[in-house]
Amino acid sequence: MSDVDYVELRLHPEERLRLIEENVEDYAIFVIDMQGRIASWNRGAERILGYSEQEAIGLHCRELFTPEDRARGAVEIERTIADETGRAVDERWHLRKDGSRFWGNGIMTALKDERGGLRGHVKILRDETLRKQAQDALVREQEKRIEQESRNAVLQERNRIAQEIHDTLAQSLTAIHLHLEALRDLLRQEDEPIHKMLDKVQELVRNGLTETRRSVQALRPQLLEANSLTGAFFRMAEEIRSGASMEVRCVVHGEAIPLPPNVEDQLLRIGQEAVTNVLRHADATELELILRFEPETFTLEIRDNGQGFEPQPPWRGFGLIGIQERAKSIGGQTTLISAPGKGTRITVTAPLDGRGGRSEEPTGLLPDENMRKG
Amino acid sequence: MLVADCHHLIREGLANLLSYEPDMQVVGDASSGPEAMDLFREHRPDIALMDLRMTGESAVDAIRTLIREFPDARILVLATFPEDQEIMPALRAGAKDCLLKDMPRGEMVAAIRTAYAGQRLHYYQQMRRGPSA
Repeated sequence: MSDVDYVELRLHPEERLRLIEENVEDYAIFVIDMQGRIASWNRGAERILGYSEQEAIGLHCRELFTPEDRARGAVEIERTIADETGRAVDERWHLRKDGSRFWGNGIMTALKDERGGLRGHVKILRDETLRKQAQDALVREQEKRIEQESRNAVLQERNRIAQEIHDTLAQSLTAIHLHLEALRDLLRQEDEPIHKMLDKVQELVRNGLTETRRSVQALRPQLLEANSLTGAFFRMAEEIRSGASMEVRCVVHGEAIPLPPNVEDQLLRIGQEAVTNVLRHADATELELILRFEPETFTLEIRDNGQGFEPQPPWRGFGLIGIQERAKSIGGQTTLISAPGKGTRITVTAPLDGRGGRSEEPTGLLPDENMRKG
Repeated sequence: MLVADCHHLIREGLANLLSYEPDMQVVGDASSGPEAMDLFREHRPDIALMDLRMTGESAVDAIRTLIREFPDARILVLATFPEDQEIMPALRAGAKDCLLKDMPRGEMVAAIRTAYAGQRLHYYQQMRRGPSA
């Protein structure tokens, strides 16, 4: 800028102010009169807030606030602070003309004349939505990390307590049990009252061991706490494989995504119940766990090549009622296909959001004609 | 037989139980994994009963080492509860079966004989199918 221009601008202070207001694009600069109505509007304000100068002049400044802020009196609070202290920080979500929101960061300043009389307010603010979003994401990330860490700490501590009970109390009770067994051998047959007493003591020890076992189980992280749903099923498959002479496959179709915790929990329990059935009754040599993630639904299928059965209502006994109840509670549908000598296939399909409006429909438990005919 | 458990009362109890069987003899008792390995090398027992955890350590490493040295070793692990986490790794490491410390004496003796006869995972499978599975 040349000296001549500088001198000229200095010579016309009102003109200079007008030029600044007009040309600044990064900041919204506008004056609000004593009634709260917008009295001036610069190019930055138009760009950030979406109103043209013509639309903005005369508009009440509350229109720029979100309904929540309006409801809690933020418009008045800001003005009061500016009046009493000369300025008020304006850092909040604001509304654009089209109703969208941006994170405004700026300041409201009271405009006073030479005699200290209040004439209105000027607001200068800029759009810092991107910075705000980045900051919020960071905070969310931190919160998530802290939550994860504290959950891990709880799991670790519970595990430590479980280990301690297991390695001390449970061992002592087991030792007492073993010695009682030995003591029984030392006693002669005719010592009837002593045997009775011994039975009593042994029963007490057994109860103690059962209680201890329950505590340890309750404290240990369950399959799902330590794994994702698919991880839990893979682990389940591995356990069956190493414990039974059975071919076990676990297959995942589609992209495995986390489901609501109660849905995952019910699905895992359904799987455990179905697998227990297979181990106890099916006499199978092959077992397949299939997890299918589709856009709207999740399907769990458990099939074996065991002896099968004639699926007639009401399917009591085999834990199928329990499976149906669990499936229903997550809005899912159960299908059972089996025939003597033809294996069994249980399918549970549940909506991904865990709600599902069709839970009242009867679930289909059908004997499979095709399978029966072979 | 070799009995390994870090709790001496449990070792004693087990030895006591087995002493009533004329065809079974405890030739050594160990309180840790390394001690169990030393005694195994020294006595070459027909059967080794090993606790899953000894002095806070898993027995899996000791089992793996012994199986590498003595592929025919009949090692049975002793679990406190059927859901003990180390059961599976111990069986994969080569243990022949898994017994519960508090199982009735008759069953334990029978399970040991079954394992001695060469059958694998006999009791473990029973345990899984039982009410606790």
